Amino acid sequence: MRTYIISRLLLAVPTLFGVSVVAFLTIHLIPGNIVEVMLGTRTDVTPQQVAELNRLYGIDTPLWRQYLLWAGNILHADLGFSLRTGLPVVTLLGSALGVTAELTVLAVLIALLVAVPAGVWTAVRRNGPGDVAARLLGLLGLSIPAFWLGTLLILAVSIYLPWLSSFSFVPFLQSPARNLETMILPACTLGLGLASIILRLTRSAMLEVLHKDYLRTARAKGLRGSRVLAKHALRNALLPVITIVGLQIGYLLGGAVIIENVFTLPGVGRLVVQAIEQRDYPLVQSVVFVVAALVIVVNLLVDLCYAWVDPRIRYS
Amino acid sequence: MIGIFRSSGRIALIGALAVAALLGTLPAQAHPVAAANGGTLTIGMTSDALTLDPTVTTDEASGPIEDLLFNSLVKFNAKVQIVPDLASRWTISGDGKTYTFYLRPNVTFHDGSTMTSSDVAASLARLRDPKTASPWASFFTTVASVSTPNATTIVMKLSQPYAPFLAVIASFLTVSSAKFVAAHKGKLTRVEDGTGPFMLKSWVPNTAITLVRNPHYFLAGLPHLDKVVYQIIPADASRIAALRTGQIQFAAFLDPIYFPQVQQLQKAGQVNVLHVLDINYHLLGFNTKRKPFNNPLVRLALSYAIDRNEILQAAGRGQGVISGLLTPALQSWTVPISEYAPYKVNLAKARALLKQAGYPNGFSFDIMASHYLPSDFTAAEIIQQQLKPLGITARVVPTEWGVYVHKWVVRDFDSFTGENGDWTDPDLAMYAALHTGGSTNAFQYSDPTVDRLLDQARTTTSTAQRKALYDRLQLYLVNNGGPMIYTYASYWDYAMSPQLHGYTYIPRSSYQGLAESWLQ
Repeated sequence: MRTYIISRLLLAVPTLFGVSVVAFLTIHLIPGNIVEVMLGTRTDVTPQQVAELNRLYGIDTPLWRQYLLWAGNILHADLGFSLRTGLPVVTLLGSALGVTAELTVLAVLIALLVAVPAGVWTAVRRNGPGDVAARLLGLLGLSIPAFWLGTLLILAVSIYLPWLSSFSFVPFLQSPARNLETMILPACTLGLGLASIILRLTRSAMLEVLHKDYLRTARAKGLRGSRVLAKHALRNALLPVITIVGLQIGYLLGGAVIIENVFTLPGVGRLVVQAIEQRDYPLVQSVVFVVAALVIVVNLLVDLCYAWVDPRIRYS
Repeated sequence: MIGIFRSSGRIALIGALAVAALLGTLPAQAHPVAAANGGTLTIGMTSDALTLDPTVTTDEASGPIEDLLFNSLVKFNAKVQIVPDLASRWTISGDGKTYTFYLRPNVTFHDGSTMTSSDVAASLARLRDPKTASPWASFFTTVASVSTPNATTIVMKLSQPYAPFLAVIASFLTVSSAKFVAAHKGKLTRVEDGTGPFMLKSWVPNTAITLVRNPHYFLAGLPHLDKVVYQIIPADASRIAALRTGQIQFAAFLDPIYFPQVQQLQKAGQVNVLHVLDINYHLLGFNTKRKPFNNPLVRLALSYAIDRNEILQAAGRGQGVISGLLTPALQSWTVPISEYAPYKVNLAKARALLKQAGYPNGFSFDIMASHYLPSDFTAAEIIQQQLKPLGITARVVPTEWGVYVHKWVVRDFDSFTGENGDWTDPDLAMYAALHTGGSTNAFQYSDPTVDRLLDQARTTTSTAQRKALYDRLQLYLVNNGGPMIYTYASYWDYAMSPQLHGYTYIPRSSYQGLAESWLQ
């Protein structure tokens, strides 16, 4: 197992190198640089002033030199400074990532708590009225755009439950109660969409294992139905669920920008979209790099989970 | 020129008639409410500020904060007249070239030090310093010399008369402590030391900026509020919900799609709403170096073909007025649209002009449009349909904002839809955009008549003579195929809690008025 982990981490190095090159090139090759975007269509500056601004922002040097400078700093764990705000990228990313990570964890927890039991229940009561209703709700959850649901929730809560409305993010350590107040609606919005996917997947996976011989054997041995389901059926059905949850965590860590905008959360999505619009090169490059690294770690953890869930899987 | 990134909130209307239009839309108060001290006003903002340095501010989010942190020598009042700010009075020499400002004594910066004329001179020097690379420096090129005969007097001598100079001062010059600037090596992105009614207390990036009352503000008794919080709430629907729950007490809405919801809140008594006409106008601009737009007859033909009212109703949702270059919000300067012949749709005339220009069967071209300006994107689609009867195929090219700006800068477009304006003086609105070689003349337009009139108007100090010159300019540009087709000017909605009193709307410096407001 140790060898497996080390080899996976070593494989991450060329992956991250590729990510760094792609992140650097794509933001630099898009037309419009930070000076142009900053000045907007107010080019009341002289060419000399533009040259001075280019020098101030470090974009007057060749691209390869800019890349080497940034990549070299990354190797020293220096993510640089935001060109537009002057703040260290690590400060901006740290606080944004905290928000996004919390939203991700809450959304996934809500999704799992709702969808896994529901998926098991609908599989056991296949084609019954409960199964049909749950599948319809799942389809609804998949179909409803999150931004629409989020906006509707905000409006509804502001009218009927104004005490639950919150438009000012409060960090968890500052006030857990107020933090949860801010996070409950966006987490539910994201979680319900994710729950729809997990429900369908859990149901399908359960239907595959429910007719297996070993379950018949377990029942024949006198084990209770719930124990058969939880210990023998669900555990074998979890592998595809773990896969999809891992993929979704990776996706959510990149920031659900529309949800962040609707619910006023200063997360990674909003941070990176604004940075792209402003051509804030160090911020974009470093955020993409760090999120890619986190996705690699999450994927590794997902793979390790497989081995924990299914003892037949051994990594060497 | 194009006011996409708006100025730092110190540009305002000129003209008492404009104020009359605005006063008509202010919420009526049944009885005067005595001012009360204290309280926190929370404002909903769409995005975070980028800087606290007005010298380099070009975005829309930083200006509202700077409005309350800084002062200039002069400012605009609600009647859009130039009034004292840090200067209690001033004189202008007979030849219009020497401005002497007499500063208020005992004005202190937020750090407690006393402001002197040296600080004003240093602030102006920094603005004009090439190393600062301020986009506003070009407005001060006529300043030939600055002297400070004593601690409360500053004299600016211009190389030539420059009629909008006081408007330029009010719009672009802010005063900071010279010592503070030097101590921070000119890096004032996240720090400030102004003289304004509020001081910076904290800035949580992408979340909120908090200002606290300046206890030493030079206007006795002000400000009334203890604190002003700029809360970042990007989504309009969320800001409306926040107003409903009272979590914010002030917010501006530009997108007319949300006006009905804001007005619903007003009907329910949850907010008061100021419905004000913007200075900006919407436009279709042409690259006059590219065929067929190098021919003014073609530009004029399109002006006759376009139905501006249809664009206003569909793109602007009817929330605006048909407008020329100087919008009806600038009533003292604007020309009635009834005098613009092309504003009456006349397809026969348009066809005749196209035939005369050598395009009897039409042509095809691209319209660059950005979703960053949703109304203007929709306007492009409407114009596309309106030109079809003439055999003209207009391709709307959706363009990401940064790419849009880049193409604008390098003049790589056939045409574009957008917004322009943000200026209160006609010289500021017209010179750089329309003069040959003007710094924001992205149209690459050149007309000796226009150049001559612009040069004359900026050096004429008589308001009546300037008015006559700018009237001629506006008529000439519209009736002779200028580089832009102007369509309409939009309304904005400012929604505020009924507990907020004493707010005065000053166009383009709309947050300055909060200095005198209170909560009760």
